[in-house]
Amino acid sequence: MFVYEKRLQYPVRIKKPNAKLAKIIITQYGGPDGELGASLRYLSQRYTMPLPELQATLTDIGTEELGHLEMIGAIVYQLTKDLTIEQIKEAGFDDYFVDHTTGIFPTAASGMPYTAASMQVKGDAITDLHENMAAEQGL
Amino acid sequence: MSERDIQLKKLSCIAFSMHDLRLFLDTHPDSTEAMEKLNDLEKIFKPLKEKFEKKFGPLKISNADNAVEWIKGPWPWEVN
Repeated sequence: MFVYEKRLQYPVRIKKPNAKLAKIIITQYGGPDGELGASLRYLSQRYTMPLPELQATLTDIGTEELGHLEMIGAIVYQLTKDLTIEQIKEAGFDDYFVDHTTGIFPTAASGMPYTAASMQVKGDAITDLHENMAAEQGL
Repeated sequence: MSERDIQLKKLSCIAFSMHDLRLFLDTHPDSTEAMEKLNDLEKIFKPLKEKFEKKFGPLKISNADNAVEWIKGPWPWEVN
């Protein structure tokens, strides 16, 4: 099970909103190599890991990735806070805004919604660890 | 930075070090050096966490005396 801790792993204090930047950063939230993908990847792969060291590592980093997801969510939230319609249009944020307003939706920067199709769980430790290394180097 | 921000940052720095040591211990469970470091940090962390929670509210729902205390903002993604 999981227990929530009411703090970010690292504080987020955005001083100036920037919707253009938010549109790029959101890919780290719901994109193919984003934190949601990382978390689901590790937490799903851990079941068939053959050694307790691996089960423990994937459980703990899979959990940590949820903490990263929360920081990215906070960044996007603060970057898009209190925008005027003019600012939204000017930043090219209107195509996101029309569907989600300023809600934090798990999507890639290209507009592709989060999909598990961009990750893999093969039930084989070596294969899964390779996929993880590829994803961690994805950016 | 507010008093809350300063205390929370200090707390989070130590928590980050502790978390990293725990990840290391996942693959090196017999490391007495890492275990000792973790125990040392735990001793610093505990009173800081208690001080923070007493002044600014619970960090975990299980540490909340009542629901009013738990739901009170600012939530972590909010700017004060």
